[in-house]
Amino acid sequence: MNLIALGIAGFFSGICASMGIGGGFVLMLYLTLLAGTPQKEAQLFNLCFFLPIAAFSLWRHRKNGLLCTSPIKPALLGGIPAALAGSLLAAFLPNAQIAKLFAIFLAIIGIKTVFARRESEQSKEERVIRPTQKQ
Amino acid sequence: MKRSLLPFFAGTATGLANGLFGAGGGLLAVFLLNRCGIDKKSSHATALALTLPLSLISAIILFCWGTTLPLGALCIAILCGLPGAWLGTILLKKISPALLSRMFGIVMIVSAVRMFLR
Repeated sequence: MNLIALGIAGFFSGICASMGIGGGFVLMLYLTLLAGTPQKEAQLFNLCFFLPIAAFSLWRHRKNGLLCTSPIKPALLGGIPAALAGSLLAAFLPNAQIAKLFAIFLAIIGIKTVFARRESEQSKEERVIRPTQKQ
Repeated sequence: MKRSLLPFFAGTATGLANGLFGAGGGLLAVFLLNRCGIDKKSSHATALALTLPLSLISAIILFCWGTTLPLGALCIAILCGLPGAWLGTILLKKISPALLSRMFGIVMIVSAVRMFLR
């Protein structure tokens, strides 16, 4: 592994991970496409990289008052068993298949992100929808 | 659908994706939390609170399964990542991530194609 390239990838992943715009995927792409790391090794590396970065960013976001705590509890209630199931599935599946599935997942999220509505459009639409729902 | 059930399903989908792919759970979480009616900036910040414990679980399982982890390289990546994270938290406070994530969407589609054809 080229250490300078890894450092640069780490730096940019840190920026993106703390902003919640896909830091995991930046490092993942570097590891799998550029450094040629096997899928599962890249996954574990990426997850471990994310832990301190996320903890640090959460502390900062909380200070900045950006954290919304109400959905965390119900989300984790569903998320924890799902995370167990997902990673066990990853442990059993061959690397090549996970990589293909990840590519499909990435394409869908990518398309969704590119064609996402702007916040102003969204709120305008919601303002129109809400009164009709109440009736 | 009940409003309170939405975060539950958002968490389930995030956990599954994060566990299976080891990445991208946060992207999904941002999108789904936003759908739950949380504003854009808070969705980005709150997604981290969700993916942190889920990533820990997935990492433990993969590690116990015997996946190798180069510790030295990991330390370098984290050391370079922390200043990046610091910068990111300032950026999220100051600017809207909408344009950035839209640009990112294009990168995602291109890499998805490259990854699929590999």
